Amino acid sequence: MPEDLAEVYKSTYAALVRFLYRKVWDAERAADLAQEAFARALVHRPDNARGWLFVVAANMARDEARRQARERRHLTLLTQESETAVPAPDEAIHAEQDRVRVRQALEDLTPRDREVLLLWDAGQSYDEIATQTGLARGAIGTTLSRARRRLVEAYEKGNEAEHVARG
Amino acid sequence: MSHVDDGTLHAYLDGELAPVEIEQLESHLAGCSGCRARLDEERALIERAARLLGVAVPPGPDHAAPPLHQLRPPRPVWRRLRVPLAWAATVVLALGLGWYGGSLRMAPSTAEAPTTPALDAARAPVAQAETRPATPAAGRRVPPPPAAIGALADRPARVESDERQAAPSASVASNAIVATPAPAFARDLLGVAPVAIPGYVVRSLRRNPSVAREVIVEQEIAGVVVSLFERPIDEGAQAGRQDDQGLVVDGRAAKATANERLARLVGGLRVEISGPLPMDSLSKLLELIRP
Repeated sequence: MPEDLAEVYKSTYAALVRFLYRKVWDAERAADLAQEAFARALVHRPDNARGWLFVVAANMARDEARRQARERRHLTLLTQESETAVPAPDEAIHAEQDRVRVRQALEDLTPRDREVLLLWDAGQSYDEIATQTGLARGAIGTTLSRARRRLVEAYEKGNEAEHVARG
Repeated sequence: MSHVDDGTLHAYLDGELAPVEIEQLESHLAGCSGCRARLDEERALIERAARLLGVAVPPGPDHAAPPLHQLRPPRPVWRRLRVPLAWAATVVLALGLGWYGGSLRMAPSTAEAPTTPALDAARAPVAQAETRPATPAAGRRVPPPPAAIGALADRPARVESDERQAAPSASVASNAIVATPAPAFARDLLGVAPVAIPGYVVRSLRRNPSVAREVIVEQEIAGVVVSLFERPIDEGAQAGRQDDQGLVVDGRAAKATANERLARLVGGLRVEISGPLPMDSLSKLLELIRP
């Protein structure tokens, strides 16, 4: 096992799980996929392990999304079920509702804006994001500024809509 | 310098501007209160977005990362490939029937051969398999199977031939999943379903013509083909081969002695691996296999 992969594992695992969670919205599945990505890295021994891992993780999340679409197991349904099924303290309910709202806001972004934002939040540099997404490095700042603005706007719009609905 | 665009402000705040750009930007900001105000706004926006993203994290306590060497892909490859496999099975069956039909035309004496290969494989007595010229050895690269294996041996050899024929077109469409199903012959031969390294395309699955009850699974790993040689554990003992020494049953790969292949016991199978990869890679791949 290459030494640096162990190092990357230590430093990147949590970020990769978070990155995947924001795509599959299932904590266990995100951890599974992250571990699978590292298991593949053990075999492939990529030169730039960190960048490679995020590329592989993004692909796996995409496959996962397609599979889920095929199986018609929409996560919205799962989320709603889990909300009603598990009696949770107020704090947990609020946290869950907030998570659902942020998720909805993230899903309102264009795929490109969302990808760039998630990669940045996972600790990738502009150079790495450019390599991974195929965007020009000079376009990353613009993309990020737009993605951040739309995320905040979509989140606040969702909040307002909810308040109106509740009266 | 004209006013600063949002992208540059974000790159600046993200610490991603080159030194020369920073210098230009800061000299502009020093004389432009409008851009300074926007800088504050964008800083607040970045913080707000980061806080929102901080909400979108897995709920519950943080689960520590398991030790790296314990990692394994979550789903067995057979399940993941079920749909492509079913599709490939159709193609292989179609190719096989076409090939079979072609051989019938070339060898009229085989016209008596049953046209339901599955039933054929299940029923055909050894004697018939030996005497029947239905398997046209002319086009086949492998020697005819020993009579002791009987009718079962007949089918796997044909499957292999089918794959050899299909190979050229398969290598052109390199992105397509080139997989064969786990045909009944493999399960019959091994007593259990054959195994594969999870997450990699199965290129072919065939009977080893020179070893009784051994199936060879070929998988593509990073552009190279790795072969798994699988046979029932009891069969390894009966064959009296030396390479059962050095096996560690708890799942860690160990070096085999007879032919330098790594081997491991997976479920009821003894699995050997070989391929143009470093030993430790092969060992790691071997460890990924789950029953």
